[in-house]
Amino acid sequence: MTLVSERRTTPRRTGRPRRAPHPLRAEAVHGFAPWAGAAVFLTLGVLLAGSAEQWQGGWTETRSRLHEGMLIVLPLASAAGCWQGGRERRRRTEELWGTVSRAPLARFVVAALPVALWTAAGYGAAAAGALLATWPYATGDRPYFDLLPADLASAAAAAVAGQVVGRVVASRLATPLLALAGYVVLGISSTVREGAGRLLNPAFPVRTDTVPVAWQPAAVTLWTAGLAAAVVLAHTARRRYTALLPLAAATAAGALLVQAGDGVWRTNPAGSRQVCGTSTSPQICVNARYEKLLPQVTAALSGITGRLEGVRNVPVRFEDRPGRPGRDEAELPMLVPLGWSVVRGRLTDPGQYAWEAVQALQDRMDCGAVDARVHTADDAVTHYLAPSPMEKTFDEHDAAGDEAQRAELRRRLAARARLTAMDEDERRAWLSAYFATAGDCDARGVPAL
Amino acid sequence: MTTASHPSRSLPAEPVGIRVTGLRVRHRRTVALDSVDLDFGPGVHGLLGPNGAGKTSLIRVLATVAEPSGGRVEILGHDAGDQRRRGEVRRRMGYLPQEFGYYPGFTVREFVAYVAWLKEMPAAVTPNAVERAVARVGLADRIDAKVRTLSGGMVRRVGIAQAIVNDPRVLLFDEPTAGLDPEQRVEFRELLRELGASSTVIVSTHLVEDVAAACTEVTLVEGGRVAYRGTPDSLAALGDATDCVGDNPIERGYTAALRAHRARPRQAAALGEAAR
Repeated sequence: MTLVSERRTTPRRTGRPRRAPHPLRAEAVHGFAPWAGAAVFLTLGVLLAGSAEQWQGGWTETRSRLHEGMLIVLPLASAAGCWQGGRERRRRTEELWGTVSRAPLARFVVAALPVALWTAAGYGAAAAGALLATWPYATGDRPYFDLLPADLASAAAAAVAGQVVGRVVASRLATPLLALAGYVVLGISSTVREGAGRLLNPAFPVRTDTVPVAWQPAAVTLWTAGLAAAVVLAHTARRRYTALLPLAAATAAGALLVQAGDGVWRTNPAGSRQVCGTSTSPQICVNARYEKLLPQVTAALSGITGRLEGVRNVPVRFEDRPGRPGRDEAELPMLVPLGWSVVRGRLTDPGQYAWEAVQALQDRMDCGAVDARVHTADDAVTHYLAPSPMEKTFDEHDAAGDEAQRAELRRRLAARARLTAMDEDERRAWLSAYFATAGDCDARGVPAL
Repeated sequence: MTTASHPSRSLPAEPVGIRVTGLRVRHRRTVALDSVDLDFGPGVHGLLGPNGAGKTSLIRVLATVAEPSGGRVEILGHDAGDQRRRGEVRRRMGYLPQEFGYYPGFTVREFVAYVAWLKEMPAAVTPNAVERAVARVGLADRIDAKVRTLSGGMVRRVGIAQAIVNDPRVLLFDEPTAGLDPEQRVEFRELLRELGASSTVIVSTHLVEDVAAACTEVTLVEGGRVAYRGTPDSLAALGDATDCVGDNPIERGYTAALRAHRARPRQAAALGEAAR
């Protein structure tokens, strides 16, 4: 300490004193808030990184996966708020703060707001990282920000509401228990398939082929933020009845969501369009959301389209729209969900993909067990157009099997050889007759081989 | 409680900082303070007494952090029990609790500024007030250090700085010198004397030498009642007049006042018995 005499003679520093940081800034920079934001960012980052194959490259997949992260982010944010709420007890500042004149609501806001903002920022940073990670591998379409505002608001609201819990419940166990309870409740609610009440869950999964109606994000924001504000006002406001106002707003928003039910979602209009390459026969179309995959798909199916030149009765095009293919169309093998045929904007196994395209042309997936004659013809056509990557394995297995399997293998090999040995015209004619029976489970129409 | 039998010091003529009338504080079934009447004017008031005497209970009621079970507390002319006036009282008060809590991640400047904001100080004067308060406790060179990096004595000085940042008219210190080394205690007493020149300062302590050196008035509390009121000099004189134990006159005076207070109920009981 400095003696009075010293104090009086101590020269003042030149210039004005440094600005005293506002408590909001102090809380935001040196309080718990940055740690809360970092925890949300890292947790969500690890979750996203662990499943990157299933969303990276697809804009709606990225959006939906980020939104699914709310299942973890919301409990984490509420736990962070709860921990902050218990700070005065842990730090033993309750005694001193009980003698200050600043209104409890203002004190609460200064302590809670940085945690809420940092939590939202952590989510926002993870979202930005995910969008940046998708960008180089984007397969078409555009980024979707439709769920982001409501997700950010919900994360912040969870942190604020958690802080009230932390103040009220005088136990360190409150933090983990609140996180656990939040996870269980949200998790169970997310698995419910019926009941409009599930739409009140701000972490409810959103399908990749849907987009929210325009007012849905605002309603969810009002629902979560209104509830949080009501809890805060009921806890800290001098006039506690003011909590009724945000509570009424939250109730109205919740009622709107429940009443609308599944009407809060609509099919993504971008998903109903497709982009087609007309240089091949059949033509190849991919969904407009994945239009950048068209060259890769065309290349993967080039072996098929090349060999089908001049063949009649084949579909006009491979289509990639929701629903069943139209007449003269075959369904393009699935590009989504990401993580299977497509990972980070690349076809993972063009050979397998081509084989799946042949199965779509044959269209006998729903026939169950087919006659041996049909099976042999299908196998020969598949071998000629795009053999399965597993063909050799199956052949070796049958070669090592019993007499029936070996006989079956001999029949298959002979049929393959006959189809391959045909001259071009003969093979085109045979294939034209063969594809006339596509989708037909009856063996009689399938030409002999 | 009546003030003790040492009318050696009359009440100050200037406006009274704190007036306590019929104060009663209960903790569950225990009576911590019982019918206490006190007033404190500008100056440094030492609050002495053994453990459990009621010093902290009194300080907490004066700090408006605890509600009394009965009686009236008037601070700077306002009824401290009146919620509408409490803000006004708190804005002009400084308080260092016995167990000083702080945010270890904050810098000294941030923490003291935080308290200034909590006391609703105008933003324009806060930067200067923070630097001045921190300088007064000798931490100017550590003002931008995080509180977690400070020693126990320095943290205690941060506690003193936050208490004085708003230039309070009423200052309440509960065991302020705990953790301070002898040199820091000497300097703190100097600061107390300076603060007491314009404010009502109440210092609850076990250390009678702090009282002797810095206080203008002494209040001795025992068993929830006021056992003695006077000046340090009168307390020392009481010690000189007795053969009580103690290393210096004021310690002997402290012991003598306590013994006299404890003997009083027995004397009253004996008188009552004789009358019967």
